[in-house]
Order: sequence, then C-alpha cells, then structure tokens
Amino acid sequence: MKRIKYAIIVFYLALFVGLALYDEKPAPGLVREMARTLPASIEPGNAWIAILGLASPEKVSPYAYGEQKMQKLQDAVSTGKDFSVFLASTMSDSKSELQFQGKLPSFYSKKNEGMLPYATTHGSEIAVLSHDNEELLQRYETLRTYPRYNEPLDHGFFTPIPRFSPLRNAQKVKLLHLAVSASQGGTTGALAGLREDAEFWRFVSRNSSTLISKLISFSSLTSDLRFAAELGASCRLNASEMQMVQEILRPFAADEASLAAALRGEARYAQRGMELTCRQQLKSWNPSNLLFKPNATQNRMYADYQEFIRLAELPSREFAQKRKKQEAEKTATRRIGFPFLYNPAGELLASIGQSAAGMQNYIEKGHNLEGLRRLACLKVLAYKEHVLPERMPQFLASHMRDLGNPFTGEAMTWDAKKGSISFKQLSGEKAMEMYL
Amino acid sequence: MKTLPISIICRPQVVRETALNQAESAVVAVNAVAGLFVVAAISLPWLSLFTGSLVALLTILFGPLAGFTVSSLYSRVEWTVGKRLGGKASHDELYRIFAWPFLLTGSAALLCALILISIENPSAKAGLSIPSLILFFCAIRNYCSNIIAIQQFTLTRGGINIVVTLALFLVLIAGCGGFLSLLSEYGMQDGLKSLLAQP
Repeated sequence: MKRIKYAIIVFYLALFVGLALYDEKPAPGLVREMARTLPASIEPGNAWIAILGLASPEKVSPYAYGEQKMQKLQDAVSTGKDFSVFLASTMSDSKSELQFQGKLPSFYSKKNEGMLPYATTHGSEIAVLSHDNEELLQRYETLRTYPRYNEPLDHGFFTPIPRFSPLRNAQKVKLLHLAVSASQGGTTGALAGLREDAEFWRFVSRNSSTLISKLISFSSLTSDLRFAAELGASCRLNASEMQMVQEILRPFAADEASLAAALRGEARYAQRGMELTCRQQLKSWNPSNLLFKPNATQNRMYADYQEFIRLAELPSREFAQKRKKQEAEKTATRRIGFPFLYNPAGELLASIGQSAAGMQNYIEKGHNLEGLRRLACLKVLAYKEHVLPERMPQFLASHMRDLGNPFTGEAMTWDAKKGSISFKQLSGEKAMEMYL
Repeated sequence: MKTLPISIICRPQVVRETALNQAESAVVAVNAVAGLFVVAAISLPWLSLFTGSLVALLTILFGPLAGFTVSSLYSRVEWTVGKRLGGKASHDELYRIFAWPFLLTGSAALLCALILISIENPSAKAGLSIPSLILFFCAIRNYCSNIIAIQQFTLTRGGINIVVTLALFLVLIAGCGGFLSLLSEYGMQDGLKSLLAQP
C-alpha cells in the first residue's frame, strides 16, 4: 500500500512540476509579426502625433505637443523605468489644454433633422461656435496637410490615446460651417470642403492600425456621407457638383471599410502591452508565474486575432452568413481547451479579454458604413430621378445589385410612413436608416 | 450475510462495518472516486467556457487528487479535534469512516449537477433534485452517527466535535488560499506601490 501511495505522490509531483514549468514555443507567425519593423511614429508629417497633441495649449504646435508626449513615453520605456513613470509620461496637463467651447446638436436621427435646415435657422449659433473654436478648427484643417498616419503600437497599453472628442467636434463645426455656406448658395464650395474632409477621414481609415482610430474614422465618415446625401438631394446640382458628390460617395477601398489591418495592429498592440506589463509587474518568483505562461498566452491571443482578421476580410454577405452560422451553432466564442492545464490564468485572460461577440460588432461597423454609403447614393439618385414615394419599391429593387442590402443582397427597405430607406444591422441594433 | 447496496446508504452501522473491514486500497479507491465525482460536479457547469475534453481530463487528473487531499486532511483534523475532546478512534478508523459518506456526497453532487445542466424546466429540476438531496442527507447522517459511535462521544460532545472539525477544516482551506494570494499580491507590490505614489 505504501508503494501505491508513494507512486501517487511521485506522479502528482511530476505532473505539477511539468505543468508549472512548461511553456509553448512562440508561434512562427507571431515571431515574424513581432519582428516586423514598423514606421517610426515620431516623424515629421505624421498626422497621428498632431492628433495626439491637437488640444495643445495655445501657441504650442499640436505636433510639438504630441511629439513631446510620445518622447517622454519612449524615454521611460527605453530606460526601463517603472510603471508609474510609464503612466506619468502619458498623462497631460488638461487644465492648460485647449477645450471645445459650446454644445453641438445631434443630426439625422429624425426626418428634417439635417444640417442644412439647422444652418438656415441657426446661423448665429454656428457663427459663435466657429468663433469660439477658431484655433481648434484651424488645427483640424491643418491635419489634412499631413502626408502620413502612423500609429505607434510597440508601447502597447501604455501608448497615450489621443482625445478624439475635440477632433470629432471640430469636424461637426466644420460641416455646419459648410452647411451655412451651402444654404447661402455656395454649394460648390461646400461640396469641395466636404470632399476634402471625407478624403482626410478615408486616409485615416486606410492607415489606422488600432480599433479606436478606425472606429473614429468610421463615425466621421458617417457624418460626411449623411451630409453629402443631404447636399446631393437638396438642390439641383450642376455636372461638376454632382461629380463631387459621386466622388465623396464612391465605393470604399478594401482597406477603408475593412477592420483587418486595424486588427492586425491591435494584435501587436496587445502583445507588446502584455510584454511590458509582465516585465513591470511580475517578479520571477511570483507564484502567478506558475499559472501564467507568456508564450502560450501570446500564442492564444495571436490565434484569436488571426481568426478575427479572417472574419474581417470576408465580404459583407459571407460575413453575415458566417456570423449567423456561428450564432446558431454557438461557436462564436472559442472554448478553452487543453492549454488551460499549464496556462490557466493566461487562457482565461486571452479568452475574456478578446470577446468574439464584441469584435464581430466592430467588424460589422465597416459593413454598415458601406450600407450607409449605398443608402446615401440611393437618396441622391432618387432625388435626381424624381422618384415618387409610390414608385420607391421598384426603384430600390432596380438598384438591388449595386446598391442593395450589403448583408443579404436584397433591395433596401422602404418605409412609406417615415419616408426612409433602411437595412437591418446584424447585431440587432436599430436599422441603419436614411430619411429621403 | 450479504450486504444490500441500499443498506450502505441508509444504515450507519452497515456503513461503519463495511468501512472498517475493507482493505486500505479499497478505501483509497473509494476516496479517489468520490473526489472524481465532486470535481466532475464542479466542472460540468463550466462546459460553456471549457471544451468537454478539457473538463474530462481535469476531472480524471485532479479528481482523485482532490479526493485524497480532502479525505486525508479532513480525517486528520477530525482526529486532532476528537483527541482533544477525549475521542477513542484512531486516525485510520476515522479515515475509513470518512470514505463512504464522501462517496455518497460526491454522487449526490454529480447527480444534482447533471440534472441542473441537462433539464431546463425549473419545476422538473427541483423535483428531480430531491433524490440527490436525500442521498446527501443520508451521507451526513451516516457520518455524524458513525463519528459519535466510533469516538464514543455523547451526542453533545459529538456535535461539538463535528462542528469544530468542519470549521477548522474550512479555516485551513481559506488560510492556504489567503497565503497564496498574499504571496501573489506581494509579487506585484512594486507596481502597486508606484501606482499609489502617483501625485
């Protein structure tokens, strides 16, 4: 009996030592990805640095301010300083920073809630907003002159996140300014300004390598598309003006509406963030090391991101089919397998930290943007062709192939009562809608 | 006379005689199986997060270990407390007495977990869980009755012995967990300190 007892003790000891010491080898794809050299972020002409410093105190250039913040972080990382120095380097003195002045109304959630009617009736308010935020608007305009948009990924979670709200507010004021100009007869100038704005956000979207930046570009492009549709369907446009509308509403390039590149960047961002956190937080003798294996965790995160990237690369209809299939079979969320034995903490972190459902919703936003572009095109076309409400279903059906529901390929839905065209979102949120 | 399986569940005296007369290897095996059942019962509700094969492997690998650890530790605590209260039983006897109720408790837990995850109707769930509850109460009654008998305690002293043993066992488990979390926390202390020191 004693032999059996000893055998059991030896077996479990060997098992625990093996599980505690074992870690996977880094996946070859992950090693290649992490070895890839990224363009330097602190580089003249990088719009991201200027966006980081957009709210710099008066008379300080946004680029110089953003550069200073990034330089502090880089110095803290390179000298191997501790967590507090990392954090301090990313914090800013918000008191001296430029703040957006005033309140902005919301647009396009109801019929006749467009920018043009607002500009016609609230010219003085828009003038005050423009005056109070003159410096911010000027900085926003200057961003368009930057030739590059390189986001830093190698400092992981310690990378400072730009405050996007002044940027989004500046865009709204800019669009309102254009709306005033259009309502006073300057449609050509307004369209030219809008085209410039849309091109800037397309440029940001093409070059975004993090989710937040990509999603911000999507919501800015949403404003541009809705305003372009409103301008295109509000007055008779001449040929060159119509050409500008078509340019703004042209189909998105693959890298503009797809989240694949952003997810690739996000994967690297997460890996580097984890490396730095482990380096800063975990001592070699900490018992947590027995439950957390860096290589295995990184491999798992890498594999998960690869799956999300494959999903993001799918065309809208295939994405919708795959998502429905995963929902029906309940396979959207990866279940934790054998690696849990030697890497329980890492497996749980990787599984909880990367919610498949959340990621699918983000990927869907790119397809929704394409759907919105189609709605905008339909609105402009319906106005140009004088389509009557009773003829709308036939009109939508005739454009089913090129301007149909991105997820089903069917015609967009016409709601005669509300006077809107729409398509259903996959996530079950309210339909993407455009009032005619 | 042949012992009916139902007697093992219902009659404390039969349980005691079976436990004391069995070979040590059989007692070890009973504890391993009991541990297996308990770990399986704990793991089953996690099937939405873990794969079935992982749950099975965790159960097979760590179930017996849990069984050995709990039975050894609990009977050791029981023996220590009992001795202080004037109990007459040896550690080996207490270890044997613990095994069968532990197996019954494990079976009841597994049965209950299976019912909870496989049946959706709440009233059917409640109705079908009754046998596992009966099994659990039988196990507790057998254990308490046998401990009092084997330690030659009065009812009051036996009751005190059982309550103190259980409390001490739980304190031991919580203490081990607390020590490990303290160790883990201390390993991260520098980072936490620096965070707190932030202006």
